[in-house]
Amino acid sequence: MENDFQQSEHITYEPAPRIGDLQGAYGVVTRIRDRLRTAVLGRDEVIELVVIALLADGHVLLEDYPGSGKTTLAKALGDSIIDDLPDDDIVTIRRIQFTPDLLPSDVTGTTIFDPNTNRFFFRPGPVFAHVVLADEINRTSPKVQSALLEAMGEKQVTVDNRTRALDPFFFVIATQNPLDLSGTFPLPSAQLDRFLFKIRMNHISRDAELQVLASLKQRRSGIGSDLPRVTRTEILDARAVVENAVHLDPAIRECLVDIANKTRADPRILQGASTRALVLMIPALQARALSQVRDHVTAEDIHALGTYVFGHRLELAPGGDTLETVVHECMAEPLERLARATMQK
Amino acid sequence: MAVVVLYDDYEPPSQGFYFRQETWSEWNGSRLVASDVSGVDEDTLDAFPNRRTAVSPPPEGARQVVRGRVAMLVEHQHPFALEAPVSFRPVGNPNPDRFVRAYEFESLAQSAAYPDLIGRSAGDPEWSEEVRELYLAQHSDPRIAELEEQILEESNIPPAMGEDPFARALSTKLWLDRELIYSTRERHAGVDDPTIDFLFGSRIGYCVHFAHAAVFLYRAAGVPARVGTGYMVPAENRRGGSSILVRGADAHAWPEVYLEGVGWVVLDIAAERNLDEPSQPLDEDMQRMLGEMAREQPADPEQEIRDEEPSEAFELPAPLWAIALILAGFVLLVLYSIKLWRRLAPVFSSTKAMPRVASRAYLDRLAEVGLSRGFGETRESFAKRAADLSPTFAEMTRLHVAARLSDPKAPAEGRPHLDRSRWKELGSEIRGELSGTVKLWRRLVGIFHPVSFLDAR
Repeated sequence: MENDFQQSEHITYEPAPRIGDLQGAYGVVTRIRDRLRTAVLGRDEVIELVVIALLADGHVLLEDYPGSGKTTLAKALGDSIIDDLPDDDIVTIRRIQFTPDLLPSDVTGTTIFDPNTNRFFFRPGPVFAHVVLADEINRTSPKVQSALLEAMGEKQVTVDNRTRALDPFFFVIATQNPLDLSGTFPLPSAQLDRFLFKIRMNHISRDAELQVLASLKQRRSGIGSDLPRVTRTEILDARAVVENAVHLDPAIRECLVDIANKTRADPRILQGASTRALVLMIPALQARALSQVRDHVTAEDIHALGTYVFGHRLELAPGGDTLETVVHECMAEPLERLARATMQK
Repeated sequence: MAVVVLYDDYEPPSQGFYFRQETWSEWNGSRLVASDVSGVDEDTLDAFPNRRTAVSPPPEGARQVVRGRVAMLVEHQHPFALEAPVSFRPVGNPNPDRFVRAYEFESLAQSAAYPDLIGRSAGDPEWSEEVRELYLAQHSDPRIAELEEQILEESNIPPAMGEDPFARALSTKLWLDRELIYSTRERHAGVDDPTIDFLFGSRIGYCVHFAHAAVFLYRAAGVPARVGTGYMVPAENRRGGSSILVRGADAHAWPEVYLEGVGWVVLDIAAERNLDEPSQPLDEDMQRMLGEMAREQPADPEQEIRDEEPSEAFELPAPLWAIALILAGFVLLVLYSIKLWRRLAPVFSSTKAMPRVASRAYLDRLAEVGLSRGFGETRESFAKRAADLSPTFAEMTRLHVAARLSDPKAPAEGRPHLDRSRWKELGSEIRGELSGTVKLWRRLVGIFHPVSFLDAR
């Protein structure tokens, strides 16, 4: 790990050594995690999920109250990343505050006429960043939402009929307020499906909150900014390692399909889990296995991520159990089968 | 004394149950005695049967099958059975405190009424000359033949039946019923020939005298006759469930005649005059109780009688609870063997099967102390739950799951579950932790729980 720490402090013009094994990828995980934990207190679970999503190349939707540390989290994440390609027009972090009067071009960018050269040139919007914080995504019109969602789904934007690719890193943390719903445009389920996780955050614990207040001064002076960071390339490498080196047994895939079928057959669920949910979930499971220092996916990963992955993709029939209960009940039987498989010859 | 239980419904035409024990046919100059001539009186048994034993059966005409059980309250010299027996077989003593032995018999008892026996010839054409002569042997005193002639003359037999053997015997019986006087006090002892002393003297006597007199008179009438001895119980003494108490006072001797196609028929004398006190009435409750006792565990009487070779096991029927106990013991043994095997299997297991076998053994141990994985719970969450009792179990679970779900093609150094000694180490650590965290009594209860392994999943 000592090597990895050194690695991250390289100046961007001198590329860090590439990451090719699980140990290196785990180094990336610990470095990001440590930085985020220093910046955001009492949110270890959310940080864990954000790191997993980052390595699984997915996006997260945080459902949270204002002032709960979303921006701090996104900013800390941006700060943890060294842009080792400074010459492109892509910055490490951008924040978009969604409002009803926002236009798609405010998100994607627009072509502007330059009178000096007598030519139009493209001015990239805030989505041209490694980490995009999309604040209160449900406050803007569906047109803007879908512009962002194209970017999320395809990693590209189309302006004036010209499609421009985003950086492969592109990672969105969107937020929405679960209570203040007047004048909002709730995301339709097809668009929610593009988020890997929807994370419902609760208020942090008393101790964590006290610690936040106590460390206010140090926080302003930039505590933790001296902790090792990671480069963009390192994260992309880690993603490749997760995909290739974390073993996924066929039994795990069977379990996932069984769970999806369960959600489709359950009478309490109007709309079951999509195939895309499963496709997105596989790298997430692998990333979680890595974050647990494992080279293979287990039932525990499915159990831990199940509600975050399936929760926002299921449409519950009115007047039933809570989402968590339903998801856990749907997962119980396939997980049991998976657990028993380990006892079979 | 004995209790007889009849399995079949039977109403004797003679109004009495005649249990024959011995027969006397041979005239020895002063009285009739048991004969040892072959072919004579082979329808009784000298000794108690120790297996199914058949005796010479009567002809089947005018008879019905009657089966029964005899439970003896005191030792008898010979077995007896309702006339006329076909076979005897021993049965287990239904109540050794009460009875000395028990056996069963199958008889072909007379079912035809007496008037229906008229019209049959006397004796059996298959008898040898010697046998026929023995059954027809006359008394040496000619007065008997003269008396019989006189009786037949006095009788009012219709002329058409004048030569019918049974009609002749029957009129003799009716004459004797009228003329003889019953008393057990007149013993005719100390005389050369009690029969003559009785018949041509006071004509006061009891069954033996009656029987002898009747037999000689029947023979004088040309009908083969003999004396049957044993017990006679009046039909009205029979009580609920066909139980019959045979008492010493029921000992009896009676004359019998032989009719072709019917066999030996009891043609007893019922003296109209009786000088004796009426016999003591039966204790009905005792008779019923003894009948119930004798009837205990009759199993399937038909089956028993059909058995040619009753097995020794039948003599000692094992109580049901003993069988249940043995069965339960067997089941326990099997369960404990399974348990023991699951516990010891890691010692013998191959390295490949080790993760499964060792985890199972320690899941069993946790189940013994009441900790088992819930439905749908992942192995890791369970291990986390079990960490209070054994923190090392989580590591074992990790290896176990890795053995199944990790890349089987990965290099061996990254796969510690292939290391046998590692499993051994983990096992002894878990054992140590469990003995530290679980109370001894709880572990003992778990060890003796026969099906604890059913909870281990």
